[in-house]
Parts: sequence; structure tokens; C-alpha cells
Amino acid sequence: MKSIGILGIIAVLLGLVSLARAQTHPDFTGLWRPIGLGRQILTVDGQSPPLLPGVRKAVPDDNEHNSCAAPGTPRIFFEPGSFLIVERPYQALFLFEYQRLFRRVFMRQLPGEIDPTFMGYSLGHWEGDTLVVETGTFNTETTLDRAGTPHSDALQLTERLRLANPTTLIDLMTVEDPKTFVRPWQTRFEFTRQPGMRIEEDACPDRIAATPHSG
Amino acid sequence: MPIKRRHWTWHLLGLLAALAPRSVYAATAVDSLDNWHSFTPKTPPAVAAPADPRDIEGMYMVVPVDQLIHPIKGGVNYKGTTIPPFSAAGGKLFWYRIAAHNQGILVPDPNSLCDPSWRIRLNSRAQVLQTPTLIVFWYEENHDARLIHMNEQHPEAIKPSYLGDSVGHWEGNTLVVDTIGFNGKDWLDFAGSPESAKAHLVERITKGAGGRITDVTTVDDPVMYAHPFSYQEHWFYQPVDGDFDEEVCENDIDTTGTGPLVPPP
Repeated sequence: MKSIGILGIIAVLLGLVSLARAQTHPDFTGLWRPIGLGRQILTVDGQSPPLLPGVRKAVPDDNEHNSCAAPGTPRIFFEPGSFLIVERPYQALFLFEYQRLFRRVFMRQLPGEIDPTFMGYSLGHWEGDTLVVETGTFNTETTLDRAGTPHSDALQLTERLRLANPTTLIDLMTVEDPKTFVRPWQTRFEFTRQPGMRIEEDACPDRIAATPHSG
Repeated sequence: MPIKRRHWTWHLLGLLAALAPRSVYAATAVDSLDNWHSFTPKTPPAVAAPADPRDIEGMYMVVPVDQLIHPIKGGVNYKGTTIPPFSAAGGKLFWYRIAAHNQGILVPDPNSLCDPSWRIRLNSRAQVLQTPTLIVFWYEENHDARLIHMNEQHPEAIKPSYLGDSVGHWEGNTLVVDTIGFNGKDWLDFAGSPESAKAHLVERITKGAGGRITDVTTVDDPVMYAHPFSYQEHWFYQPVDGDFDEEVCENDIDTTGTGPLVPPP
């Protein structure tokens, strides 16, 4: 009987450890910088996204030199600067250096009434060590990248963010937009941690005014 | 010097100013502060807040007592109103801005130009995110965020900015936030109380009943003020799941305007 009791205690302890593991997840809080990005968003196979016939690309532009318009998601990753993730149980907040823009990932539920926005509305949940973020409700005033890859109001993003190692965050993003693309496709972003760094304040009007060719 | 970009409200106010009878302004003394007493603080309904006095995480409505800072300590009396103790240089800027406003001339401030601004704290929804090493004051208006680095020192080299560099620590149940590293372009309030690059601001933030936050800010700016002074504001707690609008001021900016910018004195 004594051994059965000990085994029972061990089983309970193992169960608690398992439960604790199931309820913990990596902490992404910190400063991150996108790496390895060019101007155009590419599929994980290095191909251009599969545009529907007749869908035209927008005119490429370098936003930071001539406009303070919000770049939207995921184009924000193509813009200069780092971003800070502040992870809380009820939300993950992405604060971008660029124009001090933000993405707010709700972890419980989306607000009741939402209108289309530049950055979209995001709802997240954890699957083990992976933060899964679904984003929609975009307006159509942005492009997916700096090369003019378009999207429609039907854009839906599903991101799977996980740490490849303590200093590397991988964002595997599935892009669905049946008004723009032949089929859903995936792209991959890689972010490197910026330890000891502080986010810098970006005042876009000042930045534009300081650009020699502006005005 | 042309203004390259302006918030749409700048144009609206400019239009209203242009259409307004000049007698309106003629009837207003150039040193009148009457235009800056228009706020009536409203107390939102109380909601249950965490009991821990060091837990300030949540959504807040920042409620000012006025659009002009009225110091609770170190202020001076001006025609029955307590105002900051301006130095000669600070007073010159402040009264220029007041006189310009009272004459229907708009002096763009950082906030109306979509630049970051300390004064967003007045009458804006804010969310506080709290971790052991970082407290974020995140404001809906102008999508500004102040980052309070806990138990750290200011960096030796600080790049000057509108919101400065903030470090914090707890003294009992009081959060003490020390901010330096300003760029000298910001205004402390709507009326036009100036701020120099030498400004040193210390906030003492405490949590009271119903999660109500009281933030007492002491301003030490030897360029703009004759001596340090303190003012206070209150933040009213709301649940954290409340929505924020995606207020992107920059998208409303007119990139073609070339209207007159009134230079400071």
C-alpha cells in the first residue's frame, strides 16, 4: 500500500509538471529587428506571390522619405527600425520604432465593433511554444511590401511565431486573399533580438522635413 | 518658413479663425488665459481594480484639471490664476503663444503636427502595461508610448527626443519616474508652457481607491522656469480589454500646405 501511495504522489507531481509545461510558453518580450528583408515580399520558396490574372501591382515607394502614411501589416516589417514586443496574458503589444505604430494582439477576444484599419485587428492564442496570430479587418490603403504587392479587404493573415533560439524569432505567415491571389501562400520573417538596446523615438514629420528632397 | 505638413484640425481651426469676426479677438486681451479653462473634469464610473497598490496595469482615462498647468506647488499667481513660474525666456515663449492664440493666430505645437508630445497625457485614453523590468504608458492619441525602464540608470548618451528617456523605481508603493533627454521642442500643456532640452521631470505615481492613479510631476527646467514646480493629474481605471482606436494622425497630414508659420519670438 505504501508503494502505491508513493506512486500516486509521483503521478500527481508528474501531472502538475505536465500541466505547468502546458501553461507556460516563451516570453517574446523585448526589442527585435527584422533581418534579411529586401523590398519585396516573397513566398517561402523565394517566389513572387501568385497574383490573380489582371491584378496589378501598385507603384513601389520608399515611404520613409516622402510620406507619413501608415504602412500596414506586414509591410511594417519592411520599414526601418526595430520593434518592441510586450507580452502580457491578455495581449501582446508590438510597438514599432517606425512612426511609433503598433499592433495589438488580443489574447482573449476582439473588441465588439471593429472597423477596417491599416494594421488590422489581431487575435492570438498559444499552441505550445508557438504564438498563433490571426489578423484581418484591413483597409485597402496599404501594400504588403515596398515593391507594391497589393492586397484587398479580404486579406487574412495567420502567423505562427516561435523562438528558433533565444535571440531569433521566426514568424511563419500564411497570406490568404482570394480577391488578390490565386491561392494562399506562405512567407517567413526572421527577427533578431536587440539586447541592451532601447527603442528610438521616430517623429515622422521631423524625419520628412529633414529629407533634402522633400517639399 | 512654410509648414510642410499639418494635421487636418490645424486647417479646420485656421478656417474657423479666418471666418471668425475680428471683434471676437479684439475683445480678448492678448494676455487672457480664459481660453484655457474650458475643461470640466468628469469622473468615470468606478470599476473594480486590482488591490495590489503596485499593480497599475490597466486602461485609464487621463483627466486634467485644466488645459493650462496649474501647479500645486511652486506656482505663481497671475490675475487670480496659478501658473508655472516662467523664467524670462519661458515667459516670453508662453505669452507669445497665448497672445497669438487670443488674436486668432495659430502657433502649431508638436501634437497638432503629429509629433510625439508630453501633453497627450492630458485627456487621452492610456493603457499601462507592466512587467518587472518595463512599464509602458501607451496612449491612444498620437499612438505615443512612454517606456519606463525599471531599476535602470539613464544611458550615458541619450538621443534627445520629444518624450525623453524615462527610468523608474518603487519607493514603497510610489512609482518614481525620472525623465531627462528632451529635445526642447515640446509643450508641457495645451496652452503653451514650454519645455527646454534641460528639463528634468520627476513623477511620483500612486494608486488610490478604485484604481485611480495620481501622478504628481515636478518640473525642473532652469531655462524655461525660475524654479521647480509641481502639478498633478488623475488617471481613472478601466478594464484592460477596452479597445483603442487606430488613430494615425500622420494619415491626415496635408503635404502640400504652405501657409504662414508664425515664428516664435
